[in-house]
Amino acid sequence: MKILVIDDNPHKMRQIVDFLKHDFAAAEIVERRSYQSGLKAALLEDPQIILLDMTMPTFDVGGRETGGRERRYAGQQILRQLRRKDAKAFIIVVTQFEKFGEGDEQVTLDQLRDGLSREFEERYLGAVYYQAADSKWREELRAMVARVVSITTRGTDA
Amino acid sequence: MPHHGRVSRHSRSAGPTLRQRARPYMSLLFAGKSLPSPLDVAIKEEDSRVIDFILRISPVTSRRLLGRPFPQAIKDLAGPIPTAFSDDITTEIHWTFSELLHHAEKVRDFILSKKQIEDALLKGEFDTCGSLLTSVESRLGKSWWGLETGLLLAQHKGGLAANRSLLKAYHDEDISPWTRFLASFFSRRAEDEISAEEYDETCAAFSATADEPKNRLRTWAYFRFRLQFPRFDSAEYLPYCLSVEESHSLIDRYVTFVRVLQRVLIDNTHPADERIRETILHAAREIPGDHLKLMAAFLDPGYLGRTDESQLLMDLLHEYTIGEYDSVREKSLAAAQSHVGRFAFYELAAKATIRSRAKLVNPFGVRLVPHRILNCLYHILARDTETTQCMRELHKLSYQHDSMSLGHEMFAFHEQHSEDQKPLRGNRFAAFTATIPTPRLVMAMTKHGEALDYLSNLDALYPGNSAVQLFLSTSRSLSTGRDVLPASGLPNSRLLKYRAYVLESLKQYGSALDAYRELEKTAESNPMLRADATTGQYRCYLELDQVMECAEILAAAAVNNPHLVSPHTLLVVIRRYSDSRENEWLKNMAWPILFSVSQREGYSPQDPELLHDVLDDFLSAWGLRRPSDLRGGDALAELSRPMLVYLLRYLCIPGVLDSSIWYDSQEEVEQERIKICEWLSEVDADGRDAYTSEIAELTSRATIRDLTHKAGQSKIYVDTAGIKSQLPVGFGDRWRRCALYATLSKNLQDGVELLGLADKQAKSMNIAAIDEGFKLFKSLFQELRQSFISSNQYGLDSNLSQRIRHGTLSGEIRAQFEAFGLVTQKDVSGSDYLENVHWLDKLGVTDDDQRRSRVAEAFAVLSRGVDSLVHTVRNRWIQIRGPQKEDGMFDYDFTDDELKAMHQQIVGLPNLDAFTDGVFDQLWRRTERDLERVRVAITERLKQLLYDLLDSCYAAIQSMLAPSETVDLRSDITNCKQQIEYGLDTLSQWFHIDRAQRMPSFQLSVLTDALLQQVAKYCGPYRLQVDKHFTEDRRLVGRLFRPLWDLLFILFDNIAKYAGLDRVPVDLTVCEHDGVLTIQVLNDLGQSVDRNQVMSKVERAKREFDRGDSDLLRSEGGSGFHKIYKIVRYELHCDRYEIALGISDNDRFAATVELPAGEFYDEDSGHRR
Repeated sequence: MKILVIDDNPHKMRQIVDFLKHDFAAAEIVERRSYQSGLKAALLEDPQIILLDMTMPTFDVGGRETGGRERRYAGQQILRQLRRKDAKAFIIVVTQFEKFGEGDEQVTLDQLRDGLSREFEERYLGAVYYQAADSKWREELRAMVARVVSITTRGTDA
Repeated sequence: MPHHGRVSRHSRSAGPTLRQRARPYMSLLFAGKSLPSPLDVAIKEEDSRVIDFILRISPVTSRRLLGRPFPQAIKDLAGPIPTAFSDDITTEIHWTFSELLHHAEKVRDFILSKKQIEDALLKGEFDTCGSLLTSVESRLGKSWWGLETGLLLAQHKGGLAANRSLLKAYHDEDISPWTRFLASFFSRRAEDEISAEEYDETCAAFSATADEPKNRLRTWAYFRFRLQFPRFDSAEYLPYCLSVEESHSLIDRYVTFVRVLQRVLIDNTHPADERIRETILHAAREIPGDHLKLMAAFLDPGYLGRTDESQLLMDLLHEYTIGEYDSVREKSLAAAQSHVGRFAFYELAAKATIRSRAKLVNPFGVRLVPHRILNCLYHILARDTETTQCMRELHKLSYQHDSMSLGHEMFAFHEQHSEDQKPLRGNRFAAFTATIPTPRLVMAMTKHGEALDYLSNLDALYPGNSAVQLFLSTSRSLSTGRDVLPASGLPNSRLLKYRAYVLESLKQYGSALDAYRELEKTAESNPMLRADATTGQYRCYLELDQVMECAEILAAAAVNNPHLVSPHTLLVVIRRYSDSRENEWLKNMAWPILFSVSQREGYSPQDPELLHDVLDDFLSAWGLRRPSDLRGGDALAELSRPMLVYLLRYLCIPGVLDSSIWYDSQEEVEQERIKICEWLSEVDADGRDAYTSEIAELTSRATIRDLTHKAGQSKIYVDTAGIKSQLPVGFGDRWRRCALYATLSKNLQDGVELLGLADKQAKSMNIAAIDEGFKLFKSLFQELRQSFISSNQYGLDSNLSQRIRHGTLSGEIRAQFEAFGLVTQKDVSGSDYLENVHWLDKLGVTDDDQRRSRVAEAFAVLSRGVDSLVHTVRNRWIQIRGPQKEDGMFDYDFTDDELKAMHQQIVGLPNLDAFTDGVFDQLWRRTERDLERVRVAITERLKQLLYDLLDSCYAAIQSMLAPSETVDLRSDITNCKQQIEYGLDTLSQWFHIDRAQRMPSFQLSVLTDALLQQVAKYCGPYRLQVDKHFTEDRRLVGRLFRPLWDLLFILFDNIAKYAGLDRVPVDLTVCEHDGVLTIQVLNDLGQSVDRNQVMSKVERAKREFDRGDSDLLRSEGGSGFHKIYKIVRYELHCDRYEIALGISDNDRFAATVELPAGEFYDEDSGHRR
C-alpha cells in the first residue's frame, strides 16, 4: 500500500508521517509539499490513499522558489483533478484550520466537509481536524486509513 | 376611425336602461355604504357605459369608486384601494379602462404632454421640461410617473446632488412609508452611476420565498412590476398590480394599464380572450397612445394607420432594404434629431452607418442621452472593442429611462443582442414595446395567416415598400413551405440572409447552412452580416447535433472578433463540452479557445483552473505536456494560424500554466511563457511589440527573484583583503620573527615572561617559563582575530550590524506577526503599545465591553514579547561573545591548546600572505561552527519562543471569550506560525558565509525593484511610494551588488521609520554626469518630524565618522548614517565621493551620494561609454 501525504507544514508532515509509519508500518509513505508536486505524485505514482492539506502553495518552497500563488483550496483542486483523471485513490483531508476563504466566500470546516462529500462522494473519505497538541486526529486518521486497508484487502482477495 | 367587425357582449340591446342597470350600485353608494360582495366585483364587470353612467351621475359615486385620481400633494399619492379585488385579469383590465375612459380627455392630455416632456428632456431642454412637468401636475395632479420624471430631470440637470436633494424634499413632506420607499427607488434608478447589475441585485430583494403569505407575495410582485418591469415574470399577479394602481393617480393607472396589456401580449397569457382584445381595440380608439395603437394593429391590422413619423420610418426602411445606405444614414440621423423619442431612427442610423462603412458622426451633444444611445447602438452592432462596454451602458440607460418608451426599447435591444434569437422570431418584448408598427411586428405573430393579413394591410398603406415586400415574401415562404424569392432589386447579401432565415425556419438545415456560408463569403468586413452568418451556421449545426462544428465556427469567429458571438450562444456551446466531453472533441482547439473567450469577455466567471483543464485535455489528446511541445508536432499541421495565435497568446499564460503538473517551479512556468512569446513573435508579426515587452517583463521578474534570493543569502562577510591591506607597520616584522623562531628546535624557543616584581626586595621578580615562538604567534593571531572581529571598516561585527542587526532582522521576525495584525507599534511615549484595534474589532470586543482592556493587554503583551525577543536576538545572540555579551553566539575565544595546534599548522607557511590566510581560515572555521549554532537557535529555539508567545496570547484571550468568538484568531495564529517557520528558515539562510562568489552584473533599476519588495516586507506598516527616475541604468559590476543593496536599504529603512508618515512619497533619481554617478533619494517629511533634530543627527554622524568614532558602525538603533559612509568608503572602495544628507528647500529630506563611475560599469555587457 502506498500512502501519499501532501502538506507544506514540515512539523505537521513529520507528525503525520511518524504516525503512519508507526501504525501502518507496511505502507510505503511518500511526502510532497505543494499543490504541484503533490498532484504530480498523485497522478503518476498511483497511491492508494492520499492525505492532503487544504491550503498550500503552488510549488515547493525553497531556494529561489517562493511557492507561487497560495491556493486556499488546493486540496479541493487536487480532488477535482483526480476525478477528472479518473484516479482511484481514496482521499483524506487533514487540516489545522477551522475556516477557509475570506469574506463572503468563507466556509467552516463542517461546510467544507459537506461540500466535499457531495462533490466527491466516491473517493473522499473525510476531513480530519489536526491539532498538534491533541491526539484525536490520530484516532480519526487511523480509522479512515484502516477502512481503506480493509476495502483494498477485500478487493485483492476477491 | 378603422372599423372593427366584432361585436362585444356588452353591446346595446333592447333591455334595461343604463339607469336601471346602475341602480343596485347607486343606492348604496349614495348612502355612503361600501358595496357588498358580490356587487363589489360585479360592478367592475359591467358594461363600460354603465360604469361611465355611475361615475358621471354624482361626484359622490365618482369619489367612492375612483378614489383620488388627481392628488394634489405627494402625501396624497397613495390612498386606499377604492374597489374590491376581483383577482381576474379581464375584469381588472376592463375596470381600469372604464376609469380611464371616464377621464379620456385628461388621459389624452397626459399622452401628449408626456411626449413633449420626454422630448424636451432628451434634447437637454431641461427648463422647458421642468415647466411642462409643472404644468402637467397642475392640471392632472401628482403621480409616480411625475415623481420619477422629476428625479430623472434633476439627475440630468444637476447630477446626483440634485437628484438626492429632490428626493430629500419629497421625504421632508409628510409622506407614507410606501411613498418614501418607491421614491427612493426611483431616485436610485435615475442615478448615472448605478449599474444595471447593481440595480438588478437590489431588486432581487423583492423575490419572496414560497412560504410567505399571499398578501406579501402580491406586494413583492407589485414592486417587481413597478421597479423592474422588463424582467417581470409573474403574470398571475397582473390583476393585483392593476388593483393596487387604483390607489394611485390617473396617470399611473394609465401607465400600468398599458404595461399590463403589453405584458399580457408579450407573455401571450390570454391569446384567445375576446374581452381583452376588445378592450385594447376600444382603448386604441379612445385614448390612442403609441403602444395601444401598436397593440391594436397587432390584433387587428385594420387599425393600422399612417402618420408623418410612420411614413418617414417606412420610407427609410424601404431605402435601407434596397441598399441606399448613405442616404438612409443621413436621413435617419436627421430623423433621430427631429424625433428624439423614436428608438427606431437611432437603430436605423447605426445600421446604415455600418452598412455604408462610414464612421459614426453623432449629431447630438456629448452630454445628452441621445448621443449615448446612438453611440451604444453603433458599437453594439459594429461588434468592436467597445461592444461589451456599450452593452452595459445601454442596459443601464434602459433602466434609468424606464418611465419613457425609449427605456423599454433600449432594454429590448440589449436583450436581443445578449441572446441569440431564432430568425424571423422576434423578441416579443421588443415587438410590444416598439412605438411605430413596422413589418418586423410579424415576428411576434404565431399564425402565418395573421402575419400575411398584417403585411397586406401594411402594403396597402405603403405601396411598393421593399421592406414590406421582403417580409411578405418571407411570410409566404413560411406559410407555403417553399422558398419564395422576394422582388428583385435587393442587395445580394439581403437576399441571401433572408433566404437563409427562411430555410432555417422551414427546418431545411442543410440548405440553410449553405446559404449562411454563402452569406459569410459576401459579408466581407461587415460585422452585422458576419454575426448573422456565424450564428446562423451555429444554430443549424446545433439542430443537426453537430456540436463540434458549432464549436469550430464559433471559435473561428470569436478569434477574429469575440463580439461576433453572443454570450448566450457561447455559454450554451461550452456547456455541451462540460456535459459531454466527448473524446473526439478533445483534439480540437476550438474548445479551449471558447472557454477562454467566455472568461475574457466576462460571460463566465474567471476560473484559471478550468482553463487549464480544457487546455490540458487538448494537449493530452495530442500526447503532449506543454504548449511549446506543439511546435513541430503533428498537431500543428491541423491548427489554423489565427486560432493557434489566440491559444498561445491568451490561454497559455502563467496564471493557467501554473496549474499543470509539468512545471516544478514558477521559474519553469515563466520560461515556458518566454518560449511561447518567442514563438508568437515568429507567427504573429502584428503582436511582436507586445511579446517582446512581455519577454522583457518576465526576464526582469526572474532577475529580481534571483537578486532577492541572493540578497537574502549568506550575509556573513569579513573583508579579509581589507584587513590585510591595513595591517599595522611592524606586523610583517613580527611575523618574520615568529616564523624564524619556528625553525628553531623546541628547547631554543623557550623563554621567560616577567609576571611581576616582588615587593621591597631588589632583584626579586616573578617570572614564568614560556614558549617564545608560541607567544609571538599568539600575539599575531590575536591581532588578526581582533581585526577579523572588530575592524569597523572590514570586520565581522560591523558587517553583522550593517547587514543583519540594522533593520532587517527586526523586520523579518516582526513581519510575520504584522501580516496578521497581531502586533502593534509603540505609542508616542515609547513605553506602551498602541491598542490592537484590528483584533479588538474582529473579536467583537467593543468600547464598552469590560473585557476590552484585558484583551488589549494580551495583545500588548504579545507585541512586547516579540520586540523583546527581537532585542534578545539582535543584542544578545548575534553578537561577539565577550564579558559584556555573554550570550553572544560568535565565540572567538581559543584555548591555548587550540592555539598551539594552530601554531603548529600555520607557523611554517612560507609568506605573510599565506600566514594571514591561514589564520583567517581558522577564524572562518570557527565562524562556520558558530553560524551553525545560530541557525539552529533561530530555527528551533527562537521559533519555539515565538510560538510560546502566540500560545500565551491565545490562552489569555481564550479565557475571556467563547471558542466561537476566537475562531478567526485561532486560524490566523496557525497561519502565523506557518509563516514564522518560513520566515525563520529564510532568516537562518542569512547565516552563511558570503564567499563573494562572482555575482553577475546587474542594473540598478532592477536591484531597486527587488529591494523595494524587501523594504515593504521589513519596514512594518509604513508604505513607500517610490517614483524612480533613471537616466543612467547601465549594468554595474557584480561586486557592487551587496554594498549598493545595503546602502539603499539603509536609506529606505530610514525613510520608513523616521519620515513621520504612514505613506511616504519618495523620489529616487540615478544619473551620470562627467564621470560621476549620482544616486539621490528625496522623501517627504511629516509634520511631527523635528527638522532641527534631523539636521543635528546628520551633522553629528559626519563629524563622528570623520573623527573615526566608528564604534557606532557596530551599533544599532539609530539612523545608520555612519554605515552609509562606511559602505561608500570601504565597500565600494571609493576614495573620492560625496555624501550629502539634509533637508532641501522644499522641505524634503535628501540623501545624495556621488561616486566616481569609471570602474562601476560592466564593460563586458557591451555598455562601454
